[in-house]
Amino acid sequence: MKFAPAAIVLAAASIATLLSAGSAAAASTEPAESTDDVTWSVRPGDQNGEDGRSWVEWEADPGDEQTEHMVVTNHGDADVEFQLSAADGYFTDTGRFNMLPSDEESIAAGAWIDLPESITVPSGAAEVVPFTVTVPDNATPGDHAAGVAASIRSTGDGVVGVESRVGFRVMTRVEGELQPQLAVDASGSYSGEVNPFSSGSVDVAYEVENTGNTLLRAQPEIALTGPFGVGSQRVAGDEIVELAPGETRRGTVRVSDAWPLITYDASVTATPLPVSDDLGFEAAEPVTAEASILAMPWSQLVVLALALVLVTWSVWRRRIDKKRTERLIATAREEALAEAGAGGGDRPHADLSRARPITP
Amino acid sequence: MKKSYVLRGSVIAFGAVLLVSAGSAAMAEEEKDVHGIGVEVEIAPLAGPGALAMTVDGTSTTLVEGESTDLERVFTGTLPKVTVTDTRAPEDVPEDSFWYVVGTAGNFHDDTKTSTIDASNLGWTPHLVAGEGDGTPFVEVGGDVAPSEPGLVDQELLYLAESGEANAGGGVFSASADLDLVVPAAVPAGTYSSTITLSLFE
Repeated sequence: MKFAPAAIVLAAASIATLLSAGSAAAASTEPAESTDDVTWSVRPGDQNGEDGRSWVEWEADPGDEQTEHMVVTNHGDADVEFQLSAADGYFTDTGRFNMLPSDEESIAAGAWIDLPESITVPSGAAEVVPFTVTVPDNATPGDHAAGVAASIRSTGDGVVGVESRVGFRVMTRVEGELQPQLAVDASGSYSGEVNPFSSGSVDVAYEVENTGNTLLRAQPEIALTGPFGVGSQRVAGDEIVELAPGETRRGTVRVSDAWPLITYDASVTATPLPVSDDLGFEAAEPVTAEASILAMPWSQLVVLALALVLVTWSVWRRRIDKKRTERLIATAREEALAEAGAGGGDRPHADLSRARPITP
Repeated sequence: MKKSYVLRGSVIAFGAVLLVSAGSAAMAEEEKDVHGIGVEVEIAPLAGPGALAMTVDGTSTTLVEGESTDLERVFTGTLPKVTVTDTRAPEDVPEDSFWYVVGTAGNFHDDTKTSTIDASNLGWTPHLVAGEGDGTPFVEVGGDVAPSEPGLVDQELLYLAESGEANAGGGVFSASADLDLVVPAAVPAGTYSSTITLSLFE
C-alpha cells in the first residue's frame, strides 16, 4: 500500500505565519483574528461586575430558576469575540474540576444552563453576561456540577485546533433527601526483602466510590494488623478533596516496616464528609473494606532451613567421627592384644616353683 | 581424627552471611532518614484588584512526521504557549484556592468523517517556559503523558502548587508541551483534524 507523498497532513499553517499576521489588528474595531495573543479572565459576578466569588454555589428546589452573571474581562490589545459555553461538570482522576469539551453533549446539570452563544468584549473592558440556571421538576436531590466558560476557538479544517477556555463551576444543590454515602473496596500485596533481617512492606490499593447524591470529601484510613494483633500499623491515604456523585477515586498506600508474619488483615475506612460548610449534611456512617494479605517469610525460612542443614550435618559428622575414633581405638587394641599374644612366650617370668620363704 | 573442613567452612560462611545481612539491614534503617531543606522567599503583595487570566499564543498547531518505523507512524508538534497571569492581591485569593489548566484532546477525524484516530494516541510532555514574576517555584507542570491508553484526557498542563500566603503577589507563569501522536502504520492517509481543549479553572 502506497501512501501519497503528503502522507497524513495534520496542519494547515505554522505558528510563525499566524503570529506575524496578527499584530496589525490592534487598531481596528473588528474582532481580532484568532492569531493574536488573547488574554482574558472569567469570574462570577452580579450585574455590576465581579463580586469576589470564585465559583457559584446555590441551593434550589426542583423547578427553581436563578439568574447568575459571568464577567468576561479582555486584558488584551484587541477586541475579541468569545464563544460562551455551559457543560456538565465532573472531577478528574486527580480531583480537578473540568467540564465536558464542546464536541460532547451535556445531559445533566450543563443542560440546565441557558446563556448566549458568544459575546464581543472590547479591549481592556469587561462584559457582564447574565445566564439562567433552571432546575428541572424531576431533578434528583443532591449535588449537581456544571461549568460555564468563555473560549476562543480556532477556525478552519485540516488543523489540530486548540480551544482555550477560562471558566468557573456552577454547583447546584437540589433540596430533598441528601444521602451521603461511600463504597470502599480494598486489596493488598506483600513485598518481602531478600535480606532476612530487613522488614518488607505491604501495598494496599483501595477504591472509594461516591454512591450517594452529594458532593463528598473523604479521608481514607488504612489499618494493618498481623496475627494476634501483632505488628499493627495505621496509615492515612491521600485526602480525597472532592468526589462527585457516581465518581470513583483510586489510591494506594505503602506500609513499610512490615515483617512477614504470614498473614495480615488490612482494613480501609472512609467517612463521608461535607466539602464545605455551605454544603453540609448530617454526620454519615463510615464505611470499611477488608482484605487479607499473605506475607510468607521466605528469606527467614531459607535461613532456618540452612541452619538446620548445618546443624544436622555437624551432628551427623560428629557421630561418624566418634564411631571412627572408637573403631580406631578398637583396632589398635586388637592389634596390641594380638601382638601381645603372639610374642607372649619370649617374655621372661619368675619361676615360682623354687620359691622359698625368706627366713631370717 | 579427621575433621570435616567443608562443614566448618559452611558454618563459618553461614555465620558470616547472617552477620553481613544483619549489618546491612541496620545501615539501611539509618539511611532512610532523609532531611528536607527549607526554602523561604518573601514576595511583596501587588497593589490593585488584579486578575486571574489566561493567555494563549495562537490557536492551532502543526504536527509533522518524525521518526516513523515500519509499524508505527510518529508525528510531533508543539502546543502553543499557555500563560496564566495571577495578579490578585493575597486577600482576594480564596483560601485553599488552586488554579490549574487541564487539557483534553478530541478524536482525530479525517475530512470525510470516515476514519478516526483515537485521542489516546496523542501524548504530551509539558515543560515550564521561563516566566516573569517571583512566583515561579509555586507552579508546577503536569507529568508526561504517553501516546497510549489513556492518553491526553483530563491531564494537567500547569497548576498552582502552593496557595494562600505563599501565592502573595502571584506572577506570570507559562507552560508549553511537546505533542506526540503515534498511530499504527496501517492508518489510511488523509487530512485529520482534532481539537485540544485547554481549560483554566480555580
